[in-house]
Amino acid sequence: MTSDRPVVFVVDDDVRVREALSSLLQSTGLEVVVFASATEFLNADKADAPACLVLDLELPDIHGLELQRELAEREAPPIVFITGHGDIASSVKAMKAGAIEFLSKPFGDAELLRAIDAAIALDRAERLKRTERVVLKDRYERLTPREREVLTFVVAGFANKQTAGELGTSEITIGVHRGQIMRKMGARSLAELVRLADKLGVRPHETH
Amino acid sequence: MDIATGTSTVDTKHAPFRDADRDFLREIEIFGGGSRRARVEIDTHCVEGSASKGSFTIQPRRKLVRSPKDLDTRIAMSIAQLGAAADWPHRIDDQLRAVLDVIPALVWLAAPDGGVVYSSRRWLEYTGLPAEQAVGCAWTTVVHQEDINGLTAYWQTALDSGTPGELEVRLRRFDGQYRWFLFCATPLRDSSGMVTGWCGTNIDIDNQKRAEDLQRSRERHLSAILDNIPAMVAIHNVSGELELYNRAARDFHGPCVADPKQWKISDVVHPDDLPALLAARERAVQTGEPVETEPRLRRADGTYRWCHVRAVRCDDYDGTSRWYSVRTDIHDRKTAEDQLRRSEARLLEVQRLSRTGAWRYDLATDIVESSPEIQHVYEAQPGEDISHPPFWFDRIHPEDRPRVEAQFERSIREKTDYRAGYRILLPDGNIRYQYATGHPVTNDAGDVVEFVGASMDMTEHWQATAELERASQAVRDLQARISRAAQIATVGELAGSIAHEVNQPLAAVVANAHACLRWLSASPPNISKAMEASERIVKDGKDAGEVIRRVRSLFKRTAAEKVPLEFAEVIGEVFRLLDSYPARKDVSLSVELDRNLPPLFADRVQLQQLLLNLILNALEALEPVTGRVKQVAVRSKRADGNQCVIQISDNGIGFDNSIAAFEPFVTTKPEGMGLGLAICRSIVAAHDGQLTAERNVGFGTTFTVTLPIQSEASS
Repeated sequence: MTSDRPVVFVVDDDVRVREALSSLLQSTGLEVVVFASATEFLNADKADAPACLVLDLELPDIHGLELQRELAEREAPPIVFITGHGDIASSVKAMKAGAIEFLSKPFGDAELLRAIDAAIALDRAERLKRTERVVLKDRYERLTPREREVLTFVVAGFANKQTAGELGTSEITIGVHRGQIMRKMGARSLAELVRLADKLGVRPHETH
Repeated sequence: MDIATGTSTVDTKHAPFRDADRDFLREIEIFGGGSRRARVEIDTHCVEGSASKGSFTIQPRRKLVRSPKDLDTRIAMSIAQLGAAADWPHRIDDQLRAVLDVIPALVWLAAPDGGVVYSSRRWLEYTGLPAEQAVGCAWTTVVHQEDINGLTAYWQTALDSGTPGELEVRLRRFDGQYRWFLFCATPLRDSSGMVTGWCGTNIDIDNQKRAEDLQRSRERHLSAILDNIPAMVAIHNVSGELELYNRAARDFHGPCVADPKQWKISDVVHPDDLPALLAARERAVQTGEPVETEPRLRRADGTYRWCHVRAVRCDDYDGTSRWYSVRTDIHDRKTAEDQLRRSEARLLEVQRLSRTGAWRYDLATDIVESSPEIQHVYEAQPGEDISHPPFWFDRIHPEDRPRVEAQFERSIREKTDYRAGYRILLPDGNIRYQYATGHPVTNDAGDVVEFVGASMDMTEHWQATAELERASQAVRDLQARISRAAQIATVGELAGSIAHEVNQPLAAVVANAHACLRWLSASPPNISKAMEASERIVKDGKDAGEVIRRVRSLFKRTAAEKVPLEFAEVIGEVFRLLDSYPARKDVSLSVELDRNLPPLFADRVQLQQLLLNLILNALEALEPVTGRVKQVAVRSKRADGNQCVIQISDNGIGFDNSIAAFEPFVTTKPEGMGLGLAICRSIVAAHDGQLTAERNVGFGTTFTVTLPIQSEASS
């Protein structure tokens, strides 16, 4: 289920906090899903939408920082930490690991909502980037091995003549390859092709 | 021809031999002649040149057998007519007789058949036989009975072979005494080589024989002595050849000495011991001293055994040098000695390792024998007389000596085992701990003759025990401190967990309040949602209140266990705990204690918590301070009304409202929980004391704790 309506996941073992946050966030029109533990959150089916994770630091099963480390390896939403007994060391760790905000309970609604908005915006951008990368990768897959080889010369700034010399073929053949590459990658200009190749991580051919 | 001495040929085929003689002749025919000789009777007509029939001695001269079938055999025979013997004396003329009679030997003449025909005068004189009894075979009566068979066999052999011979026999003298004679018989031959008779001499060899017998018996005796010496005796020449060895050596070496010429020293001496043996021999040659060495020698069964070898080199009667050696198998002894040495060494090692010395006290001689280990432990000095009791008792520590002496005397008196633990005072002033045991040894009469005992050095053991005791005490102290530290640390943790407990409902309250406002301000307002939020606020607020109530009751339940306490000791422990706090750094901590302060009557842990909290509080107040030396001072002093005053001062940031500081959850510190001072006050209250705070004139705050002294005793 793909949707653009953002969703907020709240993970806290205290039912009072879950209820209060759920009510607060719903009152602003956000979609809210609450979980009592990290395991519950990890096992749940989650909507494919821009999201934010409001995570209590002290959970009964997995420590919040631990869960953050695990989620970092997946395409997980940005995290806003909340804690009842926060210490500086934990907050520094959480922020360094990419958390959006680290809030000590009790916190005001404005700071929470600001953090959630930021998180959702970030997630939306990330998702877009991921989609773009998938499309690009798809296009790149369509290139023949020879075209991929020629691409490395193109992005390195080689003229067709030079490339033909390097690869031991004719300038015309290289021109044909180049046209195919532009077409398959959906690049309108050489500059755009270079930018796309960069996004894909294609390494320019190194001159000796 | 003269048939008595002539040679003739007998035709054996036609000769009229008697049947009894034919066998003899057949034997000659078949097996050959040679030395056979027989007396046969033949008719002389069949013998060339003879005419009469008679008894003859025939000796086959050669055998003429052509083939077994062809018995046309002729035997050349020397034929002596026995009857002719009677002629002999007549043929010996008087001159010959005179000559024979003066020869200083017993001389006789015999016919070819051996019958004596003449005996010289000396013979007759010696034997005392009349001349007629000395002829024929009759003379043999003077031959010793034991020698007669030997003589007969010899004489027969001589007659048969016609060769001269010698034999030693005893002949009886006229007086009945037997003497040894050398009996020599020589055949007399005619020109044709035919034996015509025998001439014999009997030479008196009795003296010589006796000397020889004596010599032989001496040699036998010597040999018996040598063989019975329970040692191996051997004589070698300088080139190493074995010349003589006795039975023991033979038995020991076996085949090695079977062929003395082949014998080599390297065959019998262990290769490892050979160089030393040769060197010793070399040395002996130079110095003339006997060789004395203990090599391993190979026995007949191939095993090497330790032997003691003693050898001398002598220049002998015959001018050559010889080695005379005696070897004794000392293998068993040496093995036993080695074992004994090893066992003794082990015993000494055991004594050394176990630090146990052995001693023996002989009551009659008043002499003490002691093992090296006990001498070592008692540090016997050169020149000290350790063979008598005073040395040993003098070493005992003066405080222990009367007891030990009394114990020892009682053991002697009562014949009981002696056991004593005591200290010894060594010359360098060191003290060692001993545990001695002794056992009385009694004689048949039941009197104690000696004490045998051991003394074990227990110093290390004792030190280890003391060390262990100290270590255990240290562990106990440490445990006590850790448990105190743990109790104190829980206050901090408790504060943290209280904060969490309070913050949870508080967070919910805040979030619900915001939600409520938002539901109400929406258009249209969502009243039911707003009410739900409000209800939750009420419930969460009650929860928070419940948390605080629980915290209060927690402190009330902690019963103070009051004991007399030295304040100096308690503050010392708190300072040690403080060392682990980073805030302690850069702060000058001064203490000013009233040494005459009587013991406080308080709960140790709670008093420590109180002091620790107040000092930590002071340290926290110092944290933001810059530009001046951070100081915390702790003072104790006696006050009026049986009270003591403890003051903790800092030159930190201080606070405005000293009264509010003691309320729970009131704090001026950005990270404080606000519980510390509330706890302090409840502790002081539990001890019937007071806690006040005052701003200092310069910087910071002074907290003053007033506690009653010995409040329990006075109540």
